[in-house]
Amino acid sequence: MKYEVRIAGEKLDVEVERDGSETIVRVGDREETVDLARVGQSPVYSLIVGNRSYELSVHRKDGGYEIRLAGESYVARVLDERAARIAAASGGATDEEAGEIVCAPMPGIVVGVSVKPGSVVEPGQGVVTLEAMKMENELRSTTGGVVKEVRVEVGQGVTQGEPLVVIE
Amino acid sequence: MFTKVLVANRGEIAIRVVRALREMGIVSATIYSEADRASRHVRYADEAHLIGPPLPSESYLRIDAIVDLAKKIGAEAIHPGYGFLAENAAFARACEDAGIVFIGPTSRTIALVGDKMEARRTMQATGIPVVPGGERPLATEDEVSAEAERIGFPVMMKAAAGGGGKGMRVVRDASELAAAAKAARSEAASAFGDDRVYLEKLIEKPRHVEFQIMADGHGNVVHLGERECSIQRRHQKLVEESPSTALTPSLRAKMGEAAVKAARAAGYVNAGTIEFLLDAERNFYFLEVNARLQVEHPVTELVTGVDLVREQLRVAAGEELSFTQAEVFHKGSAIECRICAEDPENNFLPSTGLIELLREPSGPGVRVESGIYEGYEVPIHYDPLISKLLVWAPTRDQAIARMRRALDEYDVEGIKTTIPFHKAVMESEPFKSGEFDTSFVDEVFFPTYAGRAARHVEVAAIAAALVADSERSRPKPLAAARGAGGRSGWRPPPDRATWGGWQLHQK
Repeated sequence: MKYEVRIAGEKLDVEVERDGSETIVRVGDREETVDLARVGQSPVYSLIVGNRSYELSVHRKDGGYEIRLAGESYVARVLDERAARIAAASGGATDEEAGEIVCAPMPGIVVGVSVKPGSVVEPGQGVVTLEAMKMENELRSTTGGVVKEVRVEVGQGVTQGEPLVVIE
Repeated sequence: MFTKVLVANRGEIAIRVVRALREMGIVSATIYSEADRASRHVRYADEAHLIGPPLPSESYLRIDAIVDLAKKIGAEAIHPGYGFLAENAAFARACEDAGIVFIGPTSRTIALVGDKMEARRTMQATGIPVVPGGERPLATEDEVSAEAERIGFPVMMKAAAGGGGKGMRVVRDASELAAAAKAARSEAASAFGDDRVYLEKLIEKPRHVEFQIMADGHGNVVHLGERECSIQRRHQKLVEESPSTALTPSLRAKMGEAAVKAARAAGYVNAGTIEFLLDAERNFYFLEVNARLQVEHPVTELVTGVDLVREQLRVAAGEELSFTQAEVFHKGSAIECRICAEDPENNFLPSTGLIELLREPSGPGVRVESGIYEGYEVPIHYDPLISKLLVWAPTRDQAIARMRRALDEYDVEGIKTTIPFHKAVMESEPFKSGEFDTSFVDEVFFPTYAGRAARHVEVAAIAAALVADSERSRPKPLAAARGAGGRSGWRPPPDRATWGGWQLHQK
């Protein structure tokens, strides 16, 4: 079975072929025998690719998987051939980001807002300062763009996940 | 010796103290807030007592309630840990008044060293070098500028009642002075209820080196060598080690002697730390006394073999120190990394949430002091320190290699932690060479730190495709693998000769 794996901003074609007890994977022009074994009932798996051994964990997330491996975290969406064709036909823009909503990562109090509607922000620029866990924390935009909306003001208490600033 | 001790703290340090109590056959009692009902220190101790709602001011900081509890349950002594009430003179006094032993210095000593200017004066009077400046608190802006001219720019402005970096400002010339004073005063007033400031000559790019001291009530004071604490961010220590690469044996002896003298001058008993700054010419200056057991105390335990908490308990019970200065030996090299629930790739933003998966390192020379567990919800109310990872090895190079190995084994999933930051520090050249100062993290490390590149994209993609593929062929995704060990279990390894080395995808 052929799959398209969307991961870390890339699209990788991964073909999985099961032949009796053996599983073969092709990625690009590479071909390897692989073996994936779950460790008990935990989210931990042992993956052997060729003769290289890896330990990783797999979690379901937003219709895909979050793979954690060697201290790194990857969010992967796996499309089979049919789903990949549909995605391609619809322009491939199914899950591309168009702007960003900066949300409160924890409950806290807004102690500073450094942008207003119409402000141009660079990727990594601080937009809101939130006081929580006895610390002042600068929340930054990960993308660049224009501020469309500022939903909070200084002194306001916010809950975890509450949208603070909308950037387009 | 005591029969029951109340531990007035939470998390890893509460567990550390209870461990010592258990080894000494003393009944351990802890307190907990509503947020900590299921926490490890509650489950580990012999007794656990609810003290109030999650907010520290309503629980772990309630002096009266904690002292009353100790009386009610028949605890002869209270161990404050670090943070919360550990350096609160009023708490120590409340214990003294109630006839309960406070495991730490006397309330008088805590008050003396807590007043930073008073502590400076005391040390200066005994001939211990202090940073030039700072002879009196400055009430008016005229006094501030006169003092600045006298000392000479650049200067460091500090809160007289200060600590923890609050109210601290570097001022490089006269034009910045007024604004800095205003900001420092307001910060000091809100943090300590005291807006007095003082000035010191700025020591450029210092190293922060501290000495562990231990004193009993019989006049014995010893030092247990130094801890190098220059790897800091915003005056918060991140990595500590012993020995310091900056000290020669003769400098170590001189600073150790000064530390003992400082402890005597302050009338110190129990465990404490004398902090020094070291300038580029290796001149040392007294900075402050930390009147408590410190976060990084296990670094000293690893190189000296002394159990500091056990020693604290013995001294508090009126016994003599179990060793003399001549019996303190240092062996090998120890490093501590503070693991915090913070995101190093996002400005060290606190990361709260559920720990879904936890695997802690172990093996030779590894020590983990941790208060976390799988299913632990990192609360927003308390310090972000969740664990301390320590290693010991015969040499510093081996200790660094061991720390890298241990950090690789450490897996905390569900929240962000500073583990990736520590991996990068252990791999950085200035750290490995031992040539660094307190500006390392902000000026040397961060400008070149872009997080760790994703190195295993293809392997992760293969794993995702395999899980998706196995879900297609089974009715129940993921859960189907439960108990299906036979189906997905180990198989004979493939013929290794057939498959060449699989190159990792490098980004």
